[in-house]
Amino acid sequence: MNKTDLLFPHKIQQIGWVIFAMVIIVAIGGCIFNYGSGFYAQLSFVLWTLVYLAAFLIGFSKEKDDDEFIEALRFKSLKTMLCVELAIMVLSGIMLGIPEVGINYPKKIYTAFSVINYFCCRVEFALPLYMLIFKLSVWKYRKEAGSDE
Amino acid sequence: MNNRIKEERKLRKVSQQELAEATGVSRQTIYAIEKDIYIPSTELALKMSAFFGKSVNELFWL
Repeated sequence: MNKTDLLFPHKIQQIGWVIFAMVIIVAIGGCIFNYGSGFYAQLSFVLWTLVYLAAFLIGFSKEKDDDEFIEALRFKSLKTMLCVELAIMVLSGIMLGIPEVGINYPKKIYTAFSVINYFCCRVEFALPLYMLIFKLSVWKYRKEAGSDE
Repeated sequence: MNNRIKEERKLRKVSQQELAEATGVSRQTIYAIEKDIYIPSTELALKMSAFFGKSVNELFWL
């Protein structure tokens, strides 16, 4: 029944969650104790890399009760992530292109779309987004199934 | 696609968990099938038909 052969075993997902929790703790620690700007810049690079790694491990590991429905949810989440990414990329592309044809709008909006465009054009952004969509949908159906008999 | 999995389950006083265990899937899969959120694979449909002792056509129809 299980067709999820290319995925990591469930235990790998737990490692991903541990990495994710450690990143959150270190990031919160950085906000509280202020590690220093130079060190924090280097640290933030490491933290982001660890977030991408954690998202990869969590998103592409088998669930404890992995079956064909979870597999369908996984595929649906990938499609949703792709649609969201493309929509944001197209929107930010249009918004960043508007000033070049002579139409101006507030600089803050331009900066916001520059940041959004920067993150969406990076493939690493897709992983945390996919992980979020997939985990939310699994959680939603587990919760709904739990309250129905 | 329509199905009468919930009706058959209630008729036989079988819980979602019991049906899930008998067919080798999770409880949320049974829930999703009953709610028409998910269309099961041929393999799962055949397992369900064997479990209820009915043909696939009696359990699922367009």
